[in-house]
Amino acid sequence: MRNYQRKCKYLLLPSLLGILIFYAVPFVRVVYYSLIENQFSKKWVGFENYNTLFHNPYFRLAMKNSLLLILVGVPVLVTGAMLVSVLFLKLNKRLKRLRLAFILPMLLPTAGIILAWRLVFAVGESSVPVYALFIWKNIGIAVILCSAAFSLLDGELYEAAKLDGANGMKLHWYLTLPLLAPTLFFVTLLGIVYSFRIFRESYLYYGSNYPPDAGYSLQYYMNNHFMKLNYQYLASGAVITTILICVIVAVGIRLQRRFE
Amino acid sequence: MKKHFSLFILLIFCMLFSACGKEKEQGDGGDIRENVDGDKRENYEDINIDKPVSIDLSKALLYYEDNPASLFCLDEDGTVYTYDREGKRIYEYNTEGKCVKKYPVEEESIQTMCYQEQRLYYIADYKLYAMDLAAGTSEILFLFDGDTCWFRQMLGAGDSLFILRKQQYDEKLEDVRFDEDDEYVYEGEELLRYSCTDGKMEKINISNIKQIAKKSSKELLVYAYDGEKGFYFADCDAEGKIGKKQYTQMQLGVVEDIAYDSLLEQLVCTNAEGVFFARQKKLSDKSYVFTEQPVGAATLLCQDGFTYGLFYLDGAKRLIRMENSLLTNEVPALKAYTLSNYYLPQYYGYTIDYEQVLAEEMAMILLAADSDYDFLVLDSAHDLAGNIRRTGAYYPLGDLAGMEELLADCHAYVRETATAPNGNLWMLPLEMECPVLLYNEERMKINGAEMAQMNTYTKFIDWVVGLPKDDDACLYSVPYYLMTNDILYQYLGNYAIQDKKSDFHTDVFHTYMDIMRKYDARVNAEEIIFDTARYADTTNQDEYYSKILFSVHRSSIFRKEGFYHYDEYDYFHAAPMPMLEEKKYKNQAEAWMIVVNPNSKRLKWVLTYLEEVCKGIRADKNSFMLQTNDFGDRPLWQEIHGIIADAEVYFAYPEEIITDELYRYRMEGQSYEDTVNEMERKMNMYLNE
Amino acid sequence: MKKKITILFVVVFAGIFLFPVLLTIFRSFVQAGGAGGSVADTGTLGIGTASGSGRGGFSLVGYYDILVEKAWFLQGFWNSVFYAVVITFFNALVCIPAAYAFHEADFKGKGALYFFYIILMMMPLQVTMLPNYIGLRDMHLLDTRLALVLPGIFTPFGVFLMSQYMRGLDKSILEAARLETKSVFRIMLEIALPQVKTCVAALFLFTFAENWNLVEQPQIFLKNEQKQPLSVLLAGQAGSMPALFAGCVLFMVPVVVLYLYFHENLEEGVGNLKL
Repeated sequence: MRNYQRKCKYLLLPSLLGILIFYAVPFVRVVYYSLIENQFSKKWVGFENYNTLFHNPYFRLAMKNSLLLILVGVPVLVTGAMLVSVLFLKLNKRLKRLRLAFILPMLLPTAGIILAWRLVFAVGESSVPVYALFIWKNIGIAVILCSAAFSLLDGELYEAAKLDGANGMKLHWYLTLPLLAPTLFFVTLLGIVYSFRIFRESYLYYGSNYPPDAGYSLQYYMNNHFMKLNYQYLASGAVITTILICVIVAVGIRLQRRFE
Repeated sequence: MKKHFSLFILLIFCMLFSACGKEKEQGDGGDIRENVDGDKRENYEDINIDKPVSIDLSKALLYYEDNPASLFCLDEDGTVYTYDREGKRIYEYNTEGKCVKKYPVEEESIQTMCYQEQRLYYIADYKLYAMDLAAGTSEILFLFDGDTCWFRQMLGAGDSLFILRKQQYDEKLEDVRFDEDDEYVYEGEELLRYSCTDGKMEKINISNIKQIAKKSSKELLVYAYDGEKGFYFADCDAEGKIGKKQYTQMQLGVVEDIAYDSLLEQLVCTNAEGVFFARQKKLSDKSYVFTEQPVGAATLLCQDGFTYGLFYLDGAKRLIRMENSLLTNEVPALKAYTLSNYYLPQYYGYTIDYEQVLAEEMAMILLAADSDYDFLVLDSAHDLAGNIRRTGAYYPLGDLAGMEELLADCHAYVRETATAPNGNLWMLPLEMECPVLLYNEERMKINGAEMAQMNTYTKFIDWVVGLPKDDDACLYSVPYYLMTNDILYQYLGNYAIQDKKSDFHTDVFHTYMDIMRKYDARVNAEEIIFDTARYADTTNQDEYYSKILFSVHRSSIFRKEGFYHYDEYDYFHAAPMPMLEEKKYKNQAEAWMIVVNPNSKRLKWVLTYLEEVCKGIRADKNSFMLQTNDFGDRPLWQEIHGIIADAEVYFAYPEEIITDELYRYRMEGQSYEDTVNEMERKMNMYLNE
Repeated sequence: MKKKITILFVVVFAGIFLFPVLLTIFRSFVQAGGAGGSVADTGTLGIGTASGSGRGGFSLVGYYDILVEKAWFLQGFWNSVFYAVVITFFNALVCIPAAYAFHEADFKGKGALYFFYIILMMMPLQVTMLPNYIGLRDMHLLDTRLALVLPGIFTPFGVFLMSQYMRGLDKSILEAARLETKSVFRIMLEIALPQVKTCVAALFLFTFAENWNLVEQPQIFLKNEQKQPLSVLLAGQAGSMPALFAGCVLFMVPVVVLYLYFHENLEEGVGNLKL
C-alpha cells in the first residue's frame, strides 16, 4: 500500500516540475518585481507600489470593471447556460444538434468577430458590448457542460422525491442544485478564466489603449504600464488580482462543500 | 460511417495543407509585416551612407617593387612571380618585396599561372605550359578544346593543377535558379583537374562553380552554386573529390574573389566595397579592411597568414602583401535595436547589426534586461524615449571619454535634453532636427507677402489658402504630418499640460482646429494642393527651383549632400515654423540619440565605439547640432543652423492619444467637441494611470 | 403547431446568435476590390465602406488568394497544426498521470497543492508574461518552437479537468486491480483510463481548441515569422479583403470538424462529472 502510494506520487512529478518552471517560479518573480521601485534601479520599496495602486483612481476603475465582469458577467453566463440547457432538454433529438452552434463563437478567430460587433454595437460609453462579447463567446462550453450534467439526472430520484411531497422550487433547490453543484462550480471557474481572456477581443473592439471608462479593465491598466516601462505597477496589479482570485475560489469551494 | 468520413476528410485536409506549408518553409514566407512607420514619415533615402572606414594599414602592408604586372602567383616559400604582358617578362620577388630575377617569356597572352613543385605552369593561347625557370625552357602539356572560353584561375594542390574555366556553355545549366534575387549569374563555369604525374585532364563533377581558393598545399576550397539551396562552400582534395556542401544562405553576398587564410581560419574576399574578412560560420559578420579594388579577377591569394593582391593604388597597379593578423578586427560585432531605420549613426569601422523592432518588443527587451544587444537608436518622437529617461533604463554616460567635450560643443539645450531628472547623462545625442520653412524671398514679394510677417499659423494658413492655384507659377509643399506635429508639439509643450491634467478646451487650440478645417476644406475641394512641388516637372533643375515659392522640410534631409539643391540658389532663405500665437516660443526639435544597454555583454566595446562617435560628431564641420560649423559661405545652412540653435526638444506622447483623434476630426468628420473631449480623456488617463 | 413555432424560434435565435460567424463566411465568398478600412486598427474603420464592399458577386477569389498567393497561410496552418497536436498530445501525457496521482495518492498538503493548481490555472496571461520571457531566454528557447510547446504542455488546466472526472472512478475496481498487479502504470492505463476515456476526449478537444488559438504567446516569444501559427498571422492582417475572411473560415474548419466528430463522446463523458 505504501509502495503504491509512493508510486502514485511519482506520477505527479512531471506536471509538478513543469508547473514550477513555467508558472510558479514566474509568479514568485512577479511578486518580487512588485516590491521594487523599478525594473532598472531594483531598489526595495516594500508595499509602496501597492499603496500607490490603491490610491490611483484608474486602478480602482480597472479593478471595478474586472470584478464586475466576474461578479456579474459570470453568473449571467452560468444562468444563461442553464436556461439554454433546460430549453434544449425539452426539444427533440434533432434540434439538440443545434447545441453545437453555440460552440462556434469560441472557435471563430477575432478578425471576424470584431467586424460584426462593430456593426451591431457602436463603440461608446456602455459596457454592454464587452459583456455581450463575453457571454456570446463562452456560452458554448457552458451549455455543453450543463446539458451533459442535466442529461445524467436520474429520473428515478425525481420520482422518489415527488412521492415524498417535494415539488416545484423546493424540488429543484434540494435536489437539482446539489446534483449540479460540481458542474456549476466547474463552469464558474472556467467563466472566471475566460473573463480574463476577453481582453484580447475587447482590445481589438475598442481599438485603443485608452478605452472608454466602462471598458477599462485591469489588463488595460497593466498593458499601459508595460509600455511605460513601469513594470512594478503591473506586478502589483497582478498580485492583487491573484489574491482576489484566491478569495473567490476559496469562497466557491466552501459553497460547494455546503451543497453536498 | 458518416463520422469516420468527416474525420477522414479532416485528416486529408490537414495533410494537404501541411505538405504545402512545409515546402514553403525554406523560402520566403511572403511579406507579412508591414512597414512599421507606414507612410507617416516621408521616405527619404537613408542618411547613413557611410561605408566602413579603412583601418590604418601602414603597419600591415608591404608594397612590392614597382614593376609592371598583369597577374601573379606564389611559391610555397613566399616567392612571388608576376607576369608583365607588355614586356613579356616574369619577375621574381623575394619575401622582402624586391625583384631578384627576370625571365623572358615568349607568350604574350597568359591568362593565369601558378607555381607548383618547382615549375611554373601557365595557360596561354588555350594551351597549358610548364616552364622550368632556371633552364628557361617551357613545354606544352595540354591543348584545350574550344576557343571561346577564358581561364579564370589555376591553383595547385598535391600533384594536381585545378583550373577554373568559364564560358563553356551547357544549356542545361543556364536556368538553374534557387531564388530570383540571389544575384547568381551563369558563366559556363567548369573545374578541370590536370594531374602532373600522368598528364591527364579531367573535368570535376561540380556545376556552377564560382571561385576556388587554396586551403592548404593539398586542399582547395570551392565556392559554388546549386539550384536547390543557393551558394555553398565545399572542400576539394588533391584527387578532385568534393566534400560536404556548407550552404551560405546568401550571407556572403556578391563576391568577386575569395582567398582563405588557414592560420586565422577566415575568408578574405573582395566585393564592390572593398576587401573584407569573414568567418565561414558567420558570413554576415564582414570586417572590411581595404576599400580599394583589386586589378582583374582572381587576384587574391593567401598563404601563411598573408594576403597578396594586385591593386590599383594612386593610378598604378601595385602588388601588395597584407599581414592578416594585424588587420582582422578582434572587436566583436555590435548589435543595436531601432524603432525606425531613418537615421543611423556612422560605423567608424565597427561592424554593427541593426534590427528594427516594434515598440512593444523594445519595451519587453528593456524590461527583461536582455544582454545580447548593446545599444538603442531612438528618437524623441517615440514615447518610449521619454519613458526610458524617466525610469532609468540606460547606462549613464557621465564617464564616457569625450562626452563632456561633445556636450560643451553642442547647443546648450542639448545638454539639458541629455540630462535625466536624477542628473545622469542618459543618452548620446546624434542629431537635432527641426522642420524648416524654405522660401523664395523674391517670389514671396511678388505674392505680396513677407515671411517675417507670417509668424503665426493663422496668418500662414490664411495666406496659403489664398494662394493662386496656378502650379506653373508657384510651387509649394506643406506636408501634413510635419505641420500637424509641429503644431501639436508647440501646443503640448507650452499650453496643454499643467499638473498632470490636460486642457484642450483653450482658445488657442480651437483656433488651430478651425484653421485646419478651413485648410482641409480647400484641399478636399482641390482648390489647393498641399504638395505641388512634388508633382512638378523637375527635369530642368534651375527652372524647377525658380518656381518654388516655399517648401517645408525636415532639416535632416540637408545632411544628404546632393539630395536637394536649395543652397545653390541664393534667393532661398530658411525660416522657423510659425507659432501658435503672437508670442515666440522655442522651435520644436526632434532629437536622435543612442542609449546604451546597461546589461550589455560587450559594454567595453560599446563604450569604445561611442568614444569614436563623440570624436566623429565633434569633427563634423557640417553638423547642425554643434555650435560651431563651416557654413560661412552658405547662408542658407547658416539660417537653418540658427533655427536649430534656438530650439528645445519635445518628448512625444503616444500617437493614438492626439494624432489619431485629430485624424478623425480632419478626415472623418468627428465634431470639435467630441475630439477635444476624447483627447482630454485619453491624455488624462495616460498621465494619471 | 406549437412545436413548429418553437422550432422556428430556435432556428431564428440560432441565426441571430451566429450572425458574426455567418457574416465571416459571407464575406469570404465576396469579390475582391473595394476593401474598406482595417478591421483591427485603431478605430478608423469606415463601416460604411466595409459593408459596401460586400456587394460584389459570389466569388472564390478570396480562397484562391489566401491559398495560393499568400504563401504565409499554408505555412501558418502547418505551424498551428504542429503546435496544437504536439501540445495536446504531450499535455495529456503529463496531465493524466498527475490527475490520477491527485486522486489516489494521499499526502500532506494535497489540498493546498490542488488549490495552488487552480489559482495558477486562473492567472491571466499578462501576469507571467515577462518572467516567462526571461526564463525562456535564459534557457535559450526564445524564438524556437519549444517556447510555445513547453508552457502549453504543463498548463494546470488539464490536471484540473481530469482530476474532476477521476473522482468518478469506481474505487472498488481499483482496489481489486491493486491486488493483481504492482505496476501503477498498468492500473492507470488499463483500468482507470477506459473509464474516463470520454473525458480524455474532452481534454483533447479543449486543449486542441485552446492551442489552436494562441495569439499572445507567439507574438512575444517568437520572432521568426516562419514559426508563427496561423492565429497570429490572421490577427496581424490589416484590411477586410475576402482573403482574410476566407482565411478565418478555413482556420475554423479543423476545429469544427473535430468537435462534430467528438461531440457525442463529449456529452457522455462530460456528464460524468462528480465531486
